[in-house]
Amino acid sequence: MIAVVIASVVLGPQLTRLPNGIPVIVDAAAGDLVTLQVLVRTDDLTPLELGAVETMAAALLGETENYSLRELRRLAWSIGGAVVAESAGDCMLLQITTTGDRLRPAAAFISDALRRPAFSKVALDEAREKNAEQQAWIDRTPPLRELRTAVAAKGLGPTVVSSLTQEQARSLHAKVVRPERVAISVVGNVDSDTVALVLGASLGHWQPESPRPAAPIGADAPRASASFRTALAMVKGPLPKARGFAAWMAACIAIGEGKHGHLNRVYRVERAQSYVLGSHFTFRRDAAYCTFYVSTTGEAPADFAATVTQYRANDADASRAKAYLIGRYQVGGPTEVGRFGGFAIGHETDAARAFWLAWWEMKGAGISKDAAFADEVRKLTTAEMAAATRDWLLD
Amino acid sequence: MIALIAVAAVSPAVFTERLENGAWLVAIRIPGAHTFSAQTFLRAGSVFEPAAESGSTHLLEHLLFADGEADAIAENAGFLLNATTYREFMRLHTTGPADAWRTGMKAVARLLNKPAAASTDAEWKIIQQEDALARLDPDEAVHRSLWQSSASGSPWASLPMGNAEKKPTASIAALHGRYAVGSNVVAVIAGDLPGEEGLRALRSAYEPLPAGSPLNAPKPPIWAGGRQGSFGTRFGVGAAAPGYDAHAAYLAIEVAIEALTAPARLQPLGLEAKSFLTPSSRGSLAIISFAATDGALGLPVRAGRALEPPVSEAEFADAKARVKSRYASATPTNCALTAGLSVLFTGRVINFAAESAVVTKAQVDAAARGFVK
Repeated sequence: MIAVVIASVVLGPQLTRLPNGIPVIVDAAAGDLVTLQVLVRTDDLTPLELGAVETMAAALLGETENYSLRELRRLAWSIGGAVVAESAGDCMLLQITTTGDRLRPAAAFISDALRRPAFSKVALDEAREKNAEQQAWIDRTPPLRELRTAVAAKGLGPTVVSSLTQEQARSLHAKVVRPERVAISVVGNVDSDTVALVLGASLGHWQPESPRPAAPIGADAPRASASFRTALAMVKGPLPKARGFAAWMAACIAIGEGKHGHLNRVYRVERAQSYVLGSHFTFRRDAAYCTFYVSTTGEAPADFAATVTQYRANDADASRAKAYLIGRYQVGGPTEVGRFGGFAIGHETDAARAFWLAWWEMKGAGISKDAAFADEVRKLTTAEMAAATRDWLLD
Repeated sequence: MIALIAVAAVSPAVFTERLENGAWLVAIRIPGAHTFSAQTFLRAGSVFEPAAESGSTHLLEHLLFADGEADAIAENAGFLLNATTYREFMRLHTTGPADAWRTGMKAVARLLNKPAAASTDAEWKIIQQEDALARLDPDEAVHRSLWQSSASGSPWASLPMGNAEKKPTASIAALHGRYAVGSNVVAVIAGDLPGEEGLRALRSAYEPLPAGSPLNAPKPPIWAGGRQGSFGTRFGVGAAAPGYDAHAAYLAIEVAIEALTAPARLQPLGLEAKSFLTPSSRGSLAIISFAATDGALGLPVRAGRALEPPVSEAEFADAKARVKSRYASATPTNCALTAGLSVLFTGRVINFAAESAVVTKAQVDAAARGFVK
């Protein structure tokens, strides 16, 4: 096994496809643990569907037709591992971290969760409670509610859906969780042959039925305003696989992130107005979006959109933004806000590395983009970053 | 690459040194780590503040960043600086890409330069915003109330963030001279770095600090009654927690909290819980904050049932494994945090992962009973 692991590490991540086309990426790493991660793209869904996916994801691992989650969850918990199913902005994420000798039951379980979730009343009730807790946190934590409301209003992010019937969950599941929307990555002490064997047996011939119609999903009423007021400005950018993506990301970082970011300089250092400011990314099937925000207990700044549009990065700002983006890509985002978008995850853990490999593949950029992205950012010029910000503000 | 695989299983190696000015230096070599962590701990915080200066340490923490120089060093190398002030220590820290460890260490050390007082008023406005944000968290009310009722009349009752209504009047220069001195500092660098080289880099950064006078935290109070209560949607329960001077007992309460808040124990009762245990030199207050996941009534009664001893054998085994796993996790951030605090509080590096293996069920049951007294 050591020889196999060494060979895999030298070769780097390897991509294969199951008979039904699902991409499977395997990246060998030393240690006892294995992370099995499944991403399901949700970047083309409507706000109502995205809101419903948040509940559906939480109910996905409640129970399946063949397996009880309890024992696996307990085992994972006791070794410090995790069993996770959640909506993560532009995708749904299912993940099991466990010891290498449990890869087979973990794969069988995750396959069952993908193919045959029961969506029992208990699972849906638990999911609703979990979501209500999450929603309460969003409601009280500026700028999350204002941010989500604004992104949803543009048809780009989830609206609040607190209740989902079994019929609705099954219909949505059949529409969203399909082989052509899935990418799988496995990182840890494992070799690609074993993974191909295990996943091929459980998911290789998965051909789901067509979705059945269900009653329309209902949205919740918007919540009342909190003690903070938030100003927002949204800009549009290219797809992750497109040529200008790195320049656009760096331009957004120059404005929105870090103590030397433009927003921090204006609204914290110069005006002592805000402690909560930054940027939030939304990656959709047709484009990427960045929403800048500043929250304050006083009046939200009226000049916020102008602050964003009139900014032009100089060489020093560009240099800082590039370094910051590379560092963030390696280490992860600094705030909870990022959890609802992209680029909040670094590369420190096997689970984080698994995420990026599957994410780039899912976005059509290929797994090699993971290793190449930092270098691409490093080579950017100030002019390229400036070009990325031309006419980028949405109404 | 073969060498990488071969050494990845080796435990982190810890190198320590004490400078003439009293500063402790800790370099931790973690082969194969993808990131570094630079963390500096100051013996500083609300327990050292006179009542009239409440919040002064937190204000100093903000002002350490005010000239933007340290942030500029960090952000131009790809990472962010951060800081938090607690009752008994201030933590200045960053995590970044593995090969930038020298820059990270320098950026954190740069924070200890004497700050200018010119930004005090502006930074106080920012602290008021931070305070308003903190108050939106329901657990903040649990914390503030339980600490104040349990430690009433002692410096331990003061809030690390201070009172946002009243700006402290202490001289910033005097505060800096009190806390940012060798005898109150532990500096740690952790990552895939040669230990001796790490120590050498730390030495050149921290040798210039004046020795100053070492501070000792006041003795923790005899925790008074009122250690539980309802606060909005949450019900909080506190218990006296040992400090690092009794680290076996500290680990026992950590395992107890893990067992008492395990999903298998709480879910049948329709509860979720958050726990808070801040490391300390000689003792502090541990808090478990419960909420009903089903929205039904009877939260205090259900929380009481969740805390009912004893902890079962299975709960004990799971919780102990989980605590051990947390300490055994060789991420630079975890290693630097645990080593830095144990040196700050005891003058030596405690191997919590190894010591957690010998925690007994009897110790954990005794610790768990602390929440129902």
